[in-house]
Amino acid sequence: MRVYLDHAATTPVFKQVAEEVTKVFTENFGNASSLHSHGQEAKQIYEDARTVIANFINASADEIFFTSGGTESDNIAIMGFLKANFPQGGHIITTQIEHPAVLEVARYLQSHGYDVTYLKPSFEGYVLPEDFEKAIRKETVLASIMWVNNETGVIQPIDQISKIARKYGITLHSDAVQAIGKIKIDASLVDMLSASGHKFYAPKGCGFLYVSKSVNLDPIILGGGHEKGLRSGTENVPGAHGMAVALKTIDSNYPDWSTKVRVLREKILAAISQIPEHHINGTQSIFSHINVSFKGINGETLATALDMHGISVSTASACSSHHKMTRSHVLEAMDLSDWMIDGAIRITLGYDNTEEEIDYFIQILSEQVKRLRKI
Amino acid sequence: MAYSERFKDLFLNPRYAQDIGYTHTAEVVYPEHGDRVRIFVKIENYLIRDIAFKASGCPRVIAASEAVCRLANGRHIDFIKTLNEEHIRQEMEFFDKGFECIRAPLEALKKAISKIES
Repeated sequence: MRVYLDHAATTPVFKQVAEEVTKVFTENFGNASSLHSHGQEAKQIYEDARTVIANFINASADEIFFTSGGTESDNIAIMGFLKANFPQGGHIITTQIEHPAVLEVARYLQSHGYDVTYLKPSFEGYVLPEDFEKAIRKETVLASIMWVNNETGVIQPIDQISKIARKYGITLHSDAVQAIGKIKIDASLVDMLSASGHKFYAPKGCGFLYVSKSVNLDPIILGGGHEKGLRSGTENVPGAHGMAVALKTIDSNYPDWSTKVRVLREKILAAISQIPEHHINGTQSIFSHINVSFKGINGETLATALDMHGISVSTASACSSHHKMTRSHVLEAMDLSDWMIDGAIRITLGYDNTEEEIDYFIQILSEQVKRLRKI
Repeated sequence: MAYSERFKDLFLNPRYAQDIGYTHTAEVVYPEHGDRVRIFVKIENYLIRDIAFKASGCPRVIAASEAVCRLANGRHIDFIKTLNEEHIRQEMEFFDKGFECIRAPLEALKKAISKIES
């Protein structure tokens, strides 16, 4: 049996999404910027997708900008905001647990005259709103705080951070790549929000950026002036349509599907609780995530043993050919013990998982932990 | 990472991850890789009569430990001295460059028998 439990890395494209996208590829292939009917048909699909996505996150269609995915959205949001409004420098607040798509931008900005504060998370994996407030200075111009952490699944207190950011007039961006399609997102809590299609059962290579009407961005990609000049490049109509169909599908099945995933997660957690000396890394996690370590077992080793039994999970700490052990910057920032960091595996469920798959996973997990502890 | 069937067998079904009555033992730790290997050998008349390992770390260090034990069991210590990383990689069918951790079990075995003069 093959079991996919790495939905935080990527998701399978829903069959209905694949069918709809294929139709756009082959039938509605016009360039959405063309004035002829082929182009205008494509343009209509593209704009309809924008409206669906906007409605899904409580935004308006003119606040949605299509991009190639989460990394591009994060880059446009942060770099575009600073370029337009604070090109001379300023203070930025982010967290130590961001995805590299934000962290690397922050580091780049640090080397180009900006000052950056990286908030440390608690042992449980979330940043504290009071720490955010304490980090604010009079020259703070932007904050970028992720909605849900990709490794631990811990939901960050965006609603409280939003209130503080509003109080001090600080523009707030959130990387919501792991949140969209799993928990209800109200984009109006933030000023900018990044999303990636392949994390919610749409194709790879498409994403979007929500930008509040009140926020002004300069483009970082120049060209034909697509997306109101913010993101030049021929419109990815199949990708946009795929995201819209995926979100509509999730929306109409959400009560059943989310309940199913919650039940499967509880089943896994119950099985893990029977295995001695484990640690669940992070609390207040999203219903699809489990990040767990088993004392005495290296995370890569357990993930490899599971993979050899057809089960895909991921691990953030591993050796690569020319590097020594690389460790998860997220788990390190949480100040977990060495065995928790080196032993962590990430199990991320999806709407396509079945009870039979989880029963098989639980059996193999228990067997392999027992076996590897004897070596 | 794609592993060979041979590698999978060494990693999933190690025969030498066992307790034995041993005469010599040594441990090697690669702290920066998070790997630790201890090799136990029972030596009679310069022959390895029994061998075992304990390992914690990555999949490659576990497979390499088993490979070393399979190559060494029943052999004369002079033969052990001729073994090198290439022999271990052949036994593991693992040829990806780098991954120094593969050397740890053979280092431990050679350390364990280092004081025996044949």
